[in-house]
Amino acid sequence: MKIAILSNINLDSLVKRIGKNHDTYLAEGYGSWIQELISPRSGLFSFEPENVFIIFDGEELTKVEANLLGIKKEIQRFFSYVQKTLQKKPSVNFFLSNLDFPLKKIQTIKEIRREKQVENYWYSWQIKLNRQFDNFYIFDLKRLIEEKGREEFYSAKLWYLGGMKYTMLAEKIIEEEINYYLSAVSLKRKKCLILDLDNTLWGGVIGEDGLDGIELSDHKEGARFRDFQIGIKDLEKMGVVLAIVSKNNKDDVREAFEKHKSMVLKLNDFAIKKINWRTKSENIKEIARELNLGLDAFVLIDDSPVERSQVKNALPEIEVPEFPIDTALLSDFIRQIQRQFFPTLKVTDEDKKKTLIYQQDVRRTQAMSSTLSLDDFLKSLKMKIQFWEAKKEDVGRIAQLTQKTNQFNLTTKRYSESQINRFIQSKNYQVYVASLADRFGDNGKICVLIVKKLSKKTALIDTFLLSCRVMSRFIEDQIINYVEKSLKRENFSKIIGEYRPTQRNMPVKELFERLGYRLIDQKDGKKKYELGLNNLDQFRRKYFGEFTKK
Amino acid sequence: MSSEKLTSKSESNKKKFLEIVADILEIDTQSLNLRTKKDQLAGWDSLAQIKIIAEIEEQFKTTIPIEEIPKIITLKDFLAYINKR
Repeated sequence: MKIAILSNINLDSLVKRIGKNHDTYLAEGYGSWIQELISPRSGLFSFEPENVFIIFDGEELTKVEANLLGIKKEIQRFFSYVQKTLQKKPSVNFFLSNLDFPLKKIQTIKEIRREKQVENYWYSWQIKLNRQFDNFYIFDLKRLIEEKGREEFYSAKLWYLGGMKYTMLAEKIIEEEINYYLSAVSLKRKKCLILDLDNTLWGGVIGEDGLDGIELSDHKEGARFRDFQIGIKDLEKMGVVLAIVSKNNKDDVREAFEKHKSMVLKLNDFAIKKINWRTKSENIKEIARELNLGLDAFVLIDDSPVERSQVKNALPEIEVPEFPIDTALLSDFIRQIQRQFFPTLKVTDEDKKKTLIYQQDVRRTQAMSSTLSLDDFLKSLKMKIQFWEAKKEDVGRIAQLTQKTNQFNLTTKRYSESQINRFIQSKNYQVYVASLADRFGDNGKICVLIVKKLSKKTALIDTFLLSCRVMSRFIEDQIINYVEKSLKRENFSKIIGEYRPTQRNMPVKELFERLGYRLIDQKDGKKKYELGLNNLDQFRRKYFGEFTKK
Repeated sequence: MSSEKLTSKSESNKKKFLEIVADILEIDTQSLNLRTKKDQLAGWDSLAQIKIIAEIEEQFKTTIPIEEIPKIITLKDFLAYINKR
């Protein structure tokens, strides 16, 4: 990733650390951060960073001004520069730190802390920008300092010796936080959290202790499980899919969820529930099949070391973290789980409806197994495909799809939001999105097709992917048909298609052949195809459902 | 018994100290010895010096007063601060 770190203090040491793992911009001196930001031809922007971290020291920022009003004016001026930059560079992510002001001034207890007033004023501006701009984020430096303590974070000696504000430990902590933000940007998130029930979501065993015997309450000891459930519910709201795998009787479990007064999670919060007496790894394999997810998308939380070990041995791709021995730490534990496996920059609309969408999938799968033929089933779905040229609000989901989709993905090119933005703004690219709904529900945006215009006559299909959940329904036929007709209307005579093999995209190895494209080159498994746009109606393609171009 | 413990503790301190210096200067611990003077080592600029002082203070929970820093000439001089805590 291309990173830049700007500051009003000397952060060379930190920048060098980050530079070991990322392509990092090294500014010349640290006082020039204003010029770097506002000048479109600055060293910073010639470097073309994808992510810019602006880490500010409060003390140094406000040294110049004596009174609060003067400081506020300085801050206002600073934020007007930042605003202009955010507008000019919508495809770059900006992370601006909140301020920490060690309390150095000697004053009475009654006197209000000006340092705190400055921190709050700065933060109020950050809130404004966070609302206004999609590419603006707050870098929570203050939280890092609060959790470690100012004593461990700052070093007077280093400051006097070499203008370095932070201790080595502080630099390590900041570096780790930057890496955490970057993992969120690169969408490296697991998809599904599998949970055990007894001694995990509550204390005790529901089958033996009964509704009144399990430990789960609003106050005192039982509250540690309640707080744990609250954390899990927060994850679900961020688009993480939840599943239960528990050795229990279904009725006992239903009663617990429906009747226990302190139960935070509902049965409906879980996309899949495997409540039986089979081995956990068998159940998990089934879940992976039914949700159509790779095993590496799963995290299992289970209190039993025996069960954890069974699953780890049978399914090594699954993440199985250790469970805290002291359950008072469960609330901290679920936060660590989020940080480690589910870093999330923001939620898309699709994320918010994830549970519902996966539940609909399970019902669809069940309906399919009871229909006579695939064609009848597909007709019965009454699908509605909507297709349109990508707009600003689609960018998040498009980037997400290019990052996550593995099976129905012809070229597996991974793109960031900034790159998608660039394609949309470019005359040489056309970015399309499609959404799909059927009688079971709305799947949301599930297809990305990116056309690259190689010349006035030849176009290339750079990217063509479908969410794995809507594969095998031939909607690609209708989509490619529209794109071909559209390019023909624009006077293109030829479309080039490519297939680049990966471990996971075997399902589309022969897609272009089926669609009627001619194979013109083959090397090392990579295939190149061509389609002349002069005679389009000859193909035997499959059309199910209604197609609308918006 | 107790003097043996003291020796092995200062041995492990010395090893840890040399590793810290080697890591910051990006050289091999083999090329370091306690009598080496600061200005004999490539890469020992003011930034490296500050980092070494910082790491020693943090890792060994000791303090090197700012006045005494100019008096530190050889690597052995650092050890006095590490072992005296």
